Amino acid sequence: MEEHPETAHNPERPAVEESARGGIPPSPAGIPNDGHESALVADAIAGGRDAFQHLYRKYFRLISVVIFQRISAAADVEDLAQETFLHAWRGLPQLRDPARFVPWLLRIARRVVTDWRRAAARRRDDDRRLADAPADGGAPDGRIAAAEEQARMLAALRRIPDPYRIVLTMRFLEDLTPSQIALRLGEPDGTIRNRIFRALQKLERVLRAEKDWRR
Amino acid sequence: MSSRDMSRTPACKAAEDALARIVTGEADAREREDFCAHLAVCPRCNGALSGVLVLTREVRGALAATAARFPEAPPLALPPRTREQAARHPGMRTLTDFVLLLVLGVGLFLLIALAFFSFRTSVRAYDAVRTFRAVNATIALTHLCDRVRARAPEAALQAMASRARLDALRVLGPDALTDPWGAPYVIAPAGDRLAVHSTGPDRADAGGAGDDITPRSTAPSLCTSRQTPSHRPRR
Repeated sequence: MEEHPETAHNPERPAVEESARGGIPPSPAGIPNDGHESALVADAIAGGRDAFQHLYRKYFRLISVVIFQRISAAADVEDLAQETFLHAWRGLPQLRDPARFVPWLLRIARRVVTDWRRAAARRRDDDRRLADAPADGGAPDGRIAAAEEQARMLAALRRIPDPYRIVLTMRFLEDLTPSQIALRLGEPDGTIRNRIFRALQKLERVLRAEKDWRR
Repeated sequence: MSSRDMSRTPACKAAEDALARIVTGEADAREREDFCAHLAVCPRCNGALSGVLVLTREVRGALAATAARFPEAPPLALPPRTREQAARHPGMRTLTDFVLLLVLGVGLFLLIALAFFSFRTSVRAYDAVRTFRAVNATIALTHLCDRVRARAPEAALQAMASRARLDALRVLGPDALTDPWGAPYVIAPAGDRLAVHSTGPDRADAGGAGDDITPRSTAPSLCTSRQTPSHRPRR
């Protein structure tokens, strides 16, 4: 991993302090395991509403964030996330392998976003609406710098390919280990582990390119 | 960072491994403490590795801020599944699979049949072309034999045949005496003149009968579907 230009060693302010404050993620202890997830999905396929509501509450945040990373209009994210789950509920009988629930759900979310974009392109006020979107949920004065930093990172995240963005989201939002992500996405551990590092490299490159461009 | 860096110690290597495990969330508390302790005493690692931690912290912060916009899932009213949706599992799926397999099977059969008939048509066309070439060659050789006989009517027929062969090689080229199946054309006395024929596809000389090809043989038509209509001038 290359060193980030903004985080180069500064003798007056050792980076280790930053690390100690928050750079190092918490231990993964306490993360719920996926032992019963396949059973829940199978139950939902058979028509179990409670099982599906459980899955909905479990994955709503992940799906919302993934959708928000693909569109700019935060106001529509909740609706689109709900629409994704409604599609999933209707289409669940077609899901062959309950263990593939998460990648299947992510595919539905991608399709819902694509449909939304097509519909939005047809609307007259689309451009104005998208342009106004970054002001959505504006930060208080004291937090403007942090909000700008987060917006910059969000923009960078939007510029890396979907598979990389999804593993980063599952790793750093849901605090899942590569094994847990691999279990959910149905891919080998090693693939996920490599993808996390490559995603960070891509993100760093995007951030660096953006910084060079601003100079 | 360069592997040729002389200041890199085993502790630095351990710190890099620990960083990889910290990023993937697989490091335990002891490993994280050791990592922090190493960074505190090693300016090289502090400069090189802490950037990754800062980046992951920023990613974590941005994702957490994004997720904070969607604090909890609003109630979701699930509509009843229609009978059709529910029936898709598993019976409908089996039927769909069966239809899909049937369509694929029929498609594959048609493809193989088409390939077979195309091959057979090609073989037939090639045979027709070879027969056509053999008929034309026997006509040309017969014409040469008649010319030789006209020049020296008193010569023996065997000598005439040899002379006709030489003329054919000279006039028509080195392949003039070999038929399309690789056998030599037969030039033999027939009454008071020379007759020419090819031994045909079976390469067996039947004296101009059977599948042998003579100047009077009919070359097969390449156009089997319909004959070309004869042209009749309008009155």
